[in-house]
Amino acid sequence: MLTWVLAAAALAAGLTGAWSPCGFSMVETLAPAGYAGRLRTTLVACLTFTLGALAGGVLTFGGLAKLGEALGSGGTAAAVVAAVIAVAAAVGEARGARIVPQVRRQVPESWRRVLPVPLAAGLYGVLLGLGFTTFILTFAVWALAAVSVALGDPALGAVLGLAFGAGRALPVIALAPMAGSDRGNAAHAAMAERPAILRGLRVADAVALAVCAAVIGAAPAQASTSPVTAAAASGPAADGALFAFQRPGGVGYLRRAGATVALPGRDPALAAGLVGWREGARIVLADPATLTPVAGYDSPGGGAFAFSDQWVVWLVGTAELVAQPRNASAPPRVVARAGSSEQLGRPALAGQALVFHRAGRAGSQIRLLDLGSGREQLLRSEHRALLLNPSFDGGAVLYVRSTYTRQELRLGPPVPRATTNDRRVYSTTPTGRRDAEREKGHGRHHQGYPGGRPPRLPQRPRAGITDTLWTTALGPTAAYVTRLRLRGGTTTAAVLGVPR
Amino acid sequence: MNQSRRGFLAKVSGALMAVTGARTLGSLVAPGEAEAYHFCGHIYTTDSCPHPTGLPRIDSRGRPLRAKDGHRVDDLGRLVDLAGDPVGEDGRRLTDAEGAPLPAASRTPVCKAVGERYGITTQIDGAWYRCCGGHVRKLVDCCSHNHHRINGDRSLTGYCYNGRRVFCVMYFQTKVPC
Repeated sequence: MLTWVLAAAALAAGLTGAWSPCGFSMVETLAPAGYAGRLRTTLVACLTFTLGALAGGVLTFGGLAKLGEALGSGGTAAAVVAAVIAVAAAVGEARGARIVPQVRRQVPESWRRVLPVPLAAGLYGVLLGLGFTTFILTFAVWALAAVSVALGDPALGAVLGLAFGAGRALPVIALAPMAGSDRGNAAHAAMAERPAILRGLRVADAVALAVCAAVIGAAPAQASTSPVTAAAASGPAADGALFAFQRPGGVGYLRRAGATVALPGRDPALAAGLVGWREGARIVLADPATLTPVAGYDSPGGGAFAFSDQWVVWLVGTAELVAQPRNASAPPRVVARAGSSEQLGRPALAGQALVFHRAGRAGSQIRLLDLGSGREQLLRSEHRALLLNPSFDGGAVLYVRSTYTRQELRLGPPVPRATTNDRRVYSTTPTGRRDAEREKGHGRHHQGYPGGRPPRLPQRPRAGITDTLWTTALGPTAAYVTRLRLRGGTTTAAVLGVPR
Repeated sequence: MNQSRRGFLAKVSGALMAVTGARTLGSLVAPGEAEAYHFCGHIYTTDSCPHPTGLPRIDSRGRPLRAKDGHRVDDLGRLVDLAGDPVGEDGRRLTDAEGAPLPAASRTPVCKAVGERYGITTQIDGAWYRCCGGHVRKLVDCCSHNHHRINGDRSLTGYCYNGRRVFCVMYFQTKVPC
């Protein structure tokens, strides 16, 4: 949701930029009757201009988000600051206020004379996509820059940059090929002589920013209060409108249409329109409306399990994953085995794709195993972090990433890539509690740092509390995670839910 | 009389020599109890190596220890037992809500982790010992060929050698009283 509204605001901000001196000049420059000379060159130049604008946008907003990440942004306070900035900018836009601070610069005019037009167009595109190298026509540019830093999510920043670059490119590539024609002249005249159009765009910017502020403001409000979906609960499962969880030491519960019902067994799982639970050494699948069993599988020694329309997979201890076809056409077989000092995690299944974690002293991995072909893929791997308990809905993988600075719930596609490229949907303090990084009677080290300012320290958990983010579940609109809390020698659990 | 005067002069000159000698030695020998910057014994400007629990205390093999009590910690900053499994303050295994043990994590030597994090080759070269809190403390540099240190500015030679320079600093607390 946040990604979409920010992208919409960035697109609107980019479109508004067409009314800048550079925006008008670009249409003129790329026109077939202008420096391009012919339509074919214009089309090539439009392509390079678009690529340049997209690259410029990603550089600026992705870079600012990266800066925010380095500064430790992304917390509740930063999100509140981002929301306040978005509101202030929305008010400015709604009132049509003069843009301050303004960047009174333009792209170099000489490029279109001395460089091949497609090359010059590409470079112009980069400068316009960067956003802050030429005149700014909307407060949204400043606001989105601040939001990028405050949210500190490089993937989100990159999306924002692409949307902004697309917004900057669209009017130019739409108008340049028809410049000089009747329609082109009419469009140019409308842009140049009807201020209501720009005014309308700025109102649209205001609306987009206001929506951004509402969404950004809502997210930390949910995150900061540790959005407990189910207290005294662990092992969440989600499928469509159904949600299930395990009461520690007790049985599973199914939440459907506002009512929560106890299940006849434990370790609940949901998939393919069915609910599953464990009764002793047997896995039972049933109709969620009536709890009437429709299938059963013997799984001696088994623990948490997952099923799809094709397979059922269960964990034995923390050392083995065993799989069997749903139609029982083959006997159960071990499909993954932990190495020494390793643990396997709770399985997640979509179709015949099994996703699970391997974690231990040598590092941590999230793996995808195709139960049909036996082909195994390493999706994520990190040496000095724990990657835990993935959920998988066929399109995205949700998992816990835990380091000494932060525990995060990350969401990304089921393809091999770095964990830091995945979107962070929730984060909290680390499991371990660090000290003040100074001994008693000493101050924090600042000597040798530029300006005497050392980097910010990561947020600490409260004294006496050890929180661990653990099992996850992925619903259509929400992501869930179990928070284990050790306090005073007692471990409790709660399931938190956040928008995905 | 002469003998007693010679004796007196000999004593005075001896005392003067002793004072001069002490001053010379004093200029060569640093104070035994070194108090400076953010932890005792660290008197230079290079900052600590990133450490899971803050202050850069390490064991004899360079792996992280919690500074306040010397307890082993893993790369996540969790207390761990001898086997490397995560435990609570009471020494009992961390478990999930059903009592199943939580997985162990890596426990990387701090200087090696620095190299992985910053994409540089790091190693421990020399060290220096100072007296801190009544025990001898070994000040250890994490060295690299990088020309910049963790603070972001130019690195210094410190206790590193063979062209390497200090990237960040750590310490090992001995049990030797001083």
